[in-house]
Parts: sequence; structure tokens; C-alpha cells
Amino acid sequence: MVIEVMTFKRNTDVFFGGALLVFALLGLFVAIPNGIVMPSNINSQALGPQFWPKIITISLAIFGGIIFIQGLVQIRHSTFRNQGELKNVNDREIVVLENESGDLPIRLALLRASIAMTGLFAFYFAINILGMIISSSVAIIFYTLLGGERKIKNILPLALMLPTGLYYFFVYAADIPIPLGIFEVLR
Amino acid sequence: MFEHLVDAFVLFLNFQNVTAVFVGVAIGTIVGAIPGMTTPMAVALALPFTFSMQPITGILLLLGVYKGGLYGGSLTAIMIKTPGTPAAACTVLDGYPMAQKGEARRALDMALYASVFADLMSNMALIFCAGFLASFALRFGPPEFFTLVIFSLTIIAGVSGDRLIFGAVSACFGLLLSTVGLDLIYGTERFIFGNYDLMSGFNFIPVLIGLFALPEIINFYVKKDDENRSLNALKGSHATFADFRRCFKSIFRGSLIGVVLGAIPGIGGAPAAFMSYSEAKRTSKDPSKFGKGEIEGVAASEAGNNGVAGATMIPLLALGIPGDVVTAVILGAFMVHGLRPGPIMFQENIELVYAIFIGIMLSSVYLFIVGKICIKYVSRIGNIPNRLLYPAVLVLCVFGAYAVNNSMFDILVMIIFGLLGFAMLRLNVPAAPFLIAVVLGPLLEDNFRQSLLLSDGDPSIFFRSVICIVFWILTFTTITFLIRNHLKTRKKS
Repeated sequence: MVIEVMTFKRNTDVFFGGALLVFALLGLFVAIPNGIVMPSNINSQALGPQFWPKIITISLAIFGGIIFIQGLVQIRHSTFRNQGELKNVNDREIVVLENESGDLPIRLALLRASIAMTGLFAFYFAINILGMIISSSVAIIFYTLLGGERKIKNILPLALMLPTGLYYFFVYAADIPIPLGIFEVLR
Repeated sequence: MFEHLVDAFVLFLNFQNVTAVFVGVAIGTIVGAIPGMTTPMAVALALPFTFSMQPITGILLLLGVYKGGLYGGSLTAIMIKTPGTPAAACTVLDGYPMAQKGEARRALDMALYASVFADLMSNMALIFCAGFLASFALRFGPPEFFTLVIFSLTIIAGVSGDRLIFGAVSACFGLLLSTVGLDLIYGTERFIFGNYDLMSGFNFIPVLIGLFALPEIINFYVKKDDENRSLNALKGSHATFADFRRCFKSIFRGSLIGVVLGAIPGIGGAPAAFMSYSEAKRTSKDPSKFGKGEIEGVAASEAGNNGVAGATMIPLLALGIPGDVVTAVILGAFMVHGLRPGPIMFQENIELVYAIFIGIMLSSVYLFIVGKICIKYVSRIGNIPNRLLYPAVLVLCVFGAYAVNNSMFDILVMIIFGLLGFAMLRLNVPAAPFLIAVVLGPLLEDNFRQSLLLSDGDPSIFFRSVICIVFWILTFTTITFLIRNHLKTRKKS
């Protein structure tokens, strides 16, 4: 199992290092020339607005390269050490690995993480339509159910009282107008 | 001096300030006691509630949350073997065995006494050292500040753990993020790509909430529901004065360790707690008792942990440099309220600095009172199920992010950085360096370019003074030491 954990980690490192390298190069040759407007009257390059972003992206490329090479070296090292024992890490092995870290099985974990993340965007768009109070109440109900809570007597008071309490605090104590969406007429 | 002190008392002594410190300590203690909730998360979530307050009131509330959070972690560490904060992990070693032996109340009492004593000592260190350091920092010009920020960036190593390169990557992303917006000198656009919401760059608070609160929430949904915590009964006798006297040497030494390590940027509470604990064990007449329910172990670790609280504020107040993640958040709070910590604040806003000192001293008294109350209700605090807690935190995040600028764009920023933070969490890339770099990035670039403007582009300006040279030497020594340690650890593993 130790071998599997190590190999999975190194594969992630290779992927991460490679992705970082590509990101840095794209930043250096695409994003910086196109995203930073250079004034015409610059005496020194170091004073220009592109200088720091360039330094940072070059550093990112160097770190990406180091992580990539480290990952490759470790894979080579562990492959030689355990030749014949392990070639690839498949889903089943990752499931075992994830279970050891206290996670749900990988497919269920991915599904729940995707639902939770999609829910965040749905929450964001719902605020424009339903306003902050209603969409927050719906979000609380949704996320408590997703988390496994089944007792209505726990969910409902939280879903009703917290958004309302926060609304009253921000509107009346902090003087911050919280959006009410289609219910704006009730304000 | 006396006149400023009187002004500070006038500024501090009102109902809002006195209450804010108490509320802050109470929130911090409760949040610190909830496993899964961290002190930076608590401070970040409390920050939007301070927008409508006077600067001093808001900052005192956040300082209260910080101090309460440091102590609160020990409650669940002792009762359910689940440290509420990383720094309380050391308290588990002897606190939990004591609770199992039926001495939970004695352990909790000692944790509180040691915490309050160490907190007081740390506050005294802050009061005596910050002014001195600030007056010294008045000699700093842009090159000196540049080299100081470079040195401060080495704190990233302290918050990166054994993932040094990944910490550096995280910091680079933070620095890159801080370049978004209008250029500081020429006013030209940088990475705006036609989105005018980005003209003034990313707002610090939605980024902070996104990075520190949302990843924990999303991560909860990929974890098994771990709500079956075994709670020890709150029983046994109270800690006595004789107990305190017996542990006093370890408490005093632990407080000193906390103060020294806390004043060095990037070290934080956990290493201080472990160092204090190991010193107490090393000098004990019977070290074999440690780890099996020795009250001196609880006292030492809590003293080390809480000894950092005031000391981390020394570089923040005197130099404007955050000592750890929480002080980075508090620096953000200062900026939100239109204040810039550093030597200039000691000159122009000395009443405010003194008022903060008064509030900080009061927070130690409140810590004692809140701690005593919380001990009674600790079981209820630790047993709040995460499936109810996290949705509530999510709603707090959304309200908080919106309240910064009354902007829906900030909620979107928070969500996007939340997803980024989640990816970082899963890939084991530390998020703290990212945040520290976001805070220090503009300072670094601004001072670098100002220096070059002063010298007409001559880089030798960065070596012109003894202060600059000292900071370069410190930086290179720290980096060499860190790389050597990192390589040693890798070789061992």
C-alpha cells in the first residue's frame, strides 16, 4: 500500500509540475504581453509594469520544472525498486488510498464534491433572482440534506433564522443594503 | 506620553469597545473549540461584521477572536481528543489522558490558567517591544522596507510545513494576484482584460474567505461523517493553587518560548507549544509521566501556544508586517478601516496604538472569564455537528463577501477562490503562503520601484545601508537553513 500511495502522489506531482510549467509559459508569452499595457516612456525595464509579473511567472516556471523533475525521478526510483509489483494506479487502488485518508469512496466523493461546487454557483445565480434571504435559506436546506441531516426540527430553524438575522444585522446595524431579488418591492 | 495615554483611555473607554473585546474572545473561544473551524476562518468571518464599527472597535473584536481561538482549541483537545486548532495538538498528549483518568476539570482549569498567564506575558512583550521597534523602523526608507519584505517572505517557509516548494508556488500565485489592477506608478492596466470590477485589483476579503472557509466546507462533503466523538465526562476536582505553583516554572518558560517564537514571523503557536512541552519534559524530575496525563504537560503546551498571541502583533504593529496568517487577516482589517500599521502609525495615531494595548490587556481578563464559563458548556460546543455548522458558515461567507463592497462580483470571486483553495487542499498545496503573499505583494513591488526611482535605476541602492545588508544576510541565512533542513527531512523520509 505504501508503494501505491507513493506512486499516486508522484503522479500527481508530475501532473502538477507539468501544468504549472505550461501555465507559467502561457503567462510569460501570452498573458503578460496581452494583459499588461506598457507605457511608451519607460527608462528602465525594472520600473515597467511587466517587470514583477515576469519575475513571478519565471519563478513559477522554475518551481514547476523542479516539481515535475522530482516527480519523474521518484517514479523512476520507485519503479526500479518495485519492478513487476506495480505499473499503474487504477481506481480501485485510489479508492483504498482515499479510504485511508478518511474520504468517501472516490466516485461518491467526486459526485458529492461536484454537487457541492455546482450548488455554490446555483446559490450565486439564485441571489440575483430570489435575493439573499430566500436563496440562503434554500442553500442551508440543500447543504444540510447533502451533509446527511434528516431532522426537519434542526434544519428549518437554522434555514429561517440565520439568513433573516444576518439580513437584519447588515441592513439595520451595518447599513448595507442586502439584495432581495424579486422581493425588492417588499423593502 | 501621559497625554497620549489619557487620550487612549478616552478613545478606548466606551461601551462598544469594552463589549467588542468580550464578544470577540467569546466568539474565538467557541469557534476554536469546534473541530474543523480554524482561527483564521473565525477572524475572516468576523471581519465583515466590523465594517460598520469604529476602527478601534472592529480591530479589538478581531483581536479578541484571535486570542479566544488560540485558547478554545484546547477545550476539545482535552475532552474529545480533537484539537480545535493545530496549536492545541500538543495539549492532547497529556490533556486527553487526564480526562480519561477522570481529571478533565483539573486539566481544563490548568489549560486556562496557563493560557491566561502566557497571554498576559505576551501582551507585556508587545507593549514594551513594539514602540521600540517602531521607532527604529522610522529610519527605514523604500530600500530598507523592500529588503524587510523580502526577509518577511521567508515566513512562507514557516507556514508551508514540509511542502516548501509547493509553499513557494502558492506564494508566487499570491504575488501574481496582487499585480492585478491598475499599475502603481504608470496607472496602466494589468490583467484586467476589460473587466472593470478588476480595476482596483481583487479585494482581499473575498479572496481570504474563499481560501480559508470554502475549501473546508466543500471538503466536508467528500469525507465520511465523523460525528461519533467519544466525549469524556467533565468531572474531577478543580486545579488548585498548589498545582499552578508546581507548574509555574514550565508555564513561565513556555510563555517566554511563545513570546520569542511568536515575534519571529511565520513560526506560530504549534511549534511554540511543542518546544515548550519538550522543554518541560526534558527538565522534569520524572519525564516518564509525560504523555500519560501529566498536568505540567498541559500547562507547558498551553503556555507555549498562547504565548505567541501578543508577540505576533509586534511585527504587525511596529513594521506593518504580518507574523502569521491571522495577523495577515488583521492587517487586512486595518487597511479596510483606512489604517496602515507600521512606524508611521506610532507617530500619527499613537492614541489608537495605546488603545489597542489597553484592549489587549483587557482581553486577557476576559479570556479568564469566558474560559471559566466555556468549561461548563464545552461538551455542547464540541458536539455541534458539521452537517449543520458548515451550511451556516457558507451563508456567513456569502453575506460577508457581499458586504465588503455591496458587490455580487465579490461573491463570485469568493466562490472561485474557494474552488482554487479546495484544489490546493486536495493537492496538499498550503494556502497560507498565498494569502501572506497577497498582503505583502503590493508592499514589495511598491518599495522596489520607489527605490529604483530614487536611484535612477541603480540596483546598488538595495545594498546602501547597514539595515539592508543585515536583512539580506538574514534572508540568505534563513533560506540556506530552510533548504538544508528540507533536504535533511527528505533524506530521512
